[in-house]
Amino acid sequence: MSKRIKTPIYLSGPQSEQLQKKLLLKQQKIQSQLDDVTDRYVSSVKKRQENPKLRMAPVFALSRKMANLELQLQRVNLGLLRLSEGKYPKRNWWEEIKFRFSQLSYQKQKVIFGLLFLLPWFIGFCVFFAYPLGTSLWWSLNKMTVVSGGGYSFEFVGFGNYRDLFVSETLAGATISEVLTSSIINILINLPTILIFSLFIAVLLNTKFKGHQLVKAIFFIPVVYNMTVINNTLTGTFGRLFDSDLDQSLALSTQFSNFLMQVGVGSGLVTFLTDAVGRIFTIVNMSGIQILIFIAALQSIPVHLYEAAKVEGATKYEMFWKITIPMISPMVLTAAVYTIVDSFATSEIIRFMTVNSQGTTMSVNQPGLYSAISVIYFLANALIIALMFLALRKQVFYYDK
Amino acid sequence: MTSNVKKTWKERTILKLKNWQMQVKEQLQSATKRQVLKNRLIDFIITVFKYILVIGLCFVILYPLLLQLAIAFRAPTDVNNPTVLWIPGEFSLKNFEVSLIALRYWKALKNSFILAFGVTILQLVSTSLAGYAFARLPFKGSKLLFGLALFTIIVPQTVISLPILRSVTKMGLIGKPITIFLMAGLGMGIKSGIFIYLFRQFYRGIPTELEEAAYVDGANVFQVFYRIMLPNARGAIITVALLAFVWQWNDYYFTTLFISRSNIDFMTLTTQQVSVLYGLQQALTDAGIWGLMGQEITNNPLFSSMILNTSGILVMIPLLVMYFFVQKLFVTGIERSGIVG
Repeated sequence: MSKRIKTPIYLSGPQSEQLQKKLLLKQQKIQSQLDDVTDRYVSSVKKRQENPKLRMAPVFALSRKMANLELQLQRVNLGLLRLSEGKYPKRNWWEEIKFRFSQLSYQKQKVIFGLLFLLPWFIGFCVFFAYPLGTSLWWSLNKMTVVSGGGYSFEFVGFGNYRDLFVSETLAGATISEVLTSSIINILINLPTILIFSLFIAVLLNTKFKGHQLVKAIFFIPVVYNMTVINNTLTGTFGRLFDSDLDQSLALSTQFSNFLMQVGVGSGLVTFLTDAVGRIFTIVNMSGIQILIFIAALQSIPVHLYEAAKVEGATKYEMFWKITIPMISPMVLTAAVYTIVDSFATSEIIRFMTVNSQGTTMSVNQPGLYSAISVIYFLANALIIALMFLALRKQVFYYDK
Repeated sequence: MTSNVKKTWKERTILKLKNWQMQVKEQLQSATKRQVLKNRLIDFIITVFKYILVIGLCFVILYPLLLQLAIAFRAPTDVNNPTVLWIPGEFSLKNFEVSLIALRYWKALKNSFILAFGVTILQLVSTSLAGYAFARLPFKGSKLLFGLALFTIIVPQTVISLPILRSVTKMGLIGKPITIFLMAGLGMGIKSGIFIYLFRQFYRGIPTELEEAAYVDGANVFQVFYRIMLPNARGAIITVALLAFVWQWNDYYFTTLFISRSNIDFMTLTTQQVSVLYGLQQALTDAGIWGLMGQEITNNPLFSSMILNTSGILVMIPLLVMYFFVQKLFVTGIERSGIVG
């Protein structure tokens, strides 16, 4: 395919005269500016010759300005030359924009493109995030009641909603503080378990063994699979029936615990182990993304570090603690944040938000209270993340710093 | 003849064993060789342990899937039969027939695909542009904006959903898929913040020399992004596309809130799956099974549980099939993406 070459159309007649006038004016303006800047430059250089203790930065700024102005002047002169030869190309508005843009420095072009690229995100951020967040905060400080004929009436109550929430609202007999503490404790238990488990699996999957492709494919199924569907099967009526059928003779965990009992392990340890086995499914399901993050992190550790350690005679154990763990520590933070956000989204408190104590949908009838709960939910979320950052801050190692 | 062969085989084995014994003895004599043997033994034990663990965990993951399949093919008449455990006594597709009708499957499937595909493409465009801008096109305040982008990950969707619902209703967009598309296209879809972060980390990992060479050759910023960075970002693109597709497919919250609650005709597989039991009786009548089976089966909670389970399979099957097609790309994609930076 050959590139289409446009025969250029040149400006002529009154248009060209107009432009010439404009350019001449511009030339004068730039020239006067340039003279001014040059004078200032010369005087400031003289000053510094007399008194070398003064800062040099203003001089550099002036010289930069001078260079810029000279460049502009050159461009205007070139335009005038073209006009006098009658070879000034005629541009429509799009070509004019393109021309002006191409005259900018690369740094400025990059900034403009950066703003352009971020524009959709920024609009979305304002419309679908910042504004709703502010509205939600405002609602949580108001008592909102449904007015007949649609809409709500507002009544400013300050922190009244929050007080009501902690004093009177209950879900199945539990107050919000009980639900909050139980879900926070749950998350605090789950967080290290999930992190350690997913790191372990990632290290395991990262080595090449026969069938590792298949194993990886299977391990990422939980990422794809819908948890609620699985929960329906496992904890629904049928799942329970199935488990009770199994329990009589076949259930893995029962057999396992029986075996341990017979061997003579204490019953406390046995229940702990069987609990762990029972939780494995939940943990495996919650750690799909974390495994993914850790595998990517492990892959990006430079191989030469391990080679050097091997030459120095380090064992695999030492290499793991001295190279692998520090190198992936930033990603541990990422995975931890993801885990906290994810497990909050599936915690008990979500149920608190859907139905209120009177058994009606809260989002429609009491948006103020609903917003208050969601704000508390968010604050608890942020609190745990902040705590975790504080706890892990000193352990995190950045390679490029 | 046969005995002769047997004898030589026996002899050969004995010889081999003896040889091996000699070798081991020889190896045990020097310290270094003893160490080598020990290391090899430890490696072997670790490998065995690893395989046991991997197979066990694979079983844990696949167990519910297998369970679902086993239940799905069970005939409705076998619902209370305690002898049928894993392998269905009578192979039957009745459950699937009922579920297909109860889910309004083909219509919901179409809607699911439209939503998920649209959202995936829009999310890809918006988040990859934003990620590139954050990684390589810095300007004053872009760090602050990136902090805000990370902040969107932490804030739960329940905090902002009600005001959004209200403004969307005011704009008259409620009940139309364009609401979800708009949010995805403006980089505020499901977990868009994570995708922006992923893309940014990925672009930061690509050497700057590539871009500089292109700039020297006269490419502008958009050309560099489109011609150089995007082809190199295949790993990140695949990861983000798969996650965006899956999360949209499995999304119940936004889809119900913005579309299905006010527009009953637009339902996706996930929203149908949640309410499948309400449409069960009607579906049974439509399938012509109502009269055949009798009340003692159709009123059985086990039966409805079985239908719930089968419809769960039907919802997930398109995803699983797609996953197994792109799975290889996905796994190698993450490995090369190197999300660290």
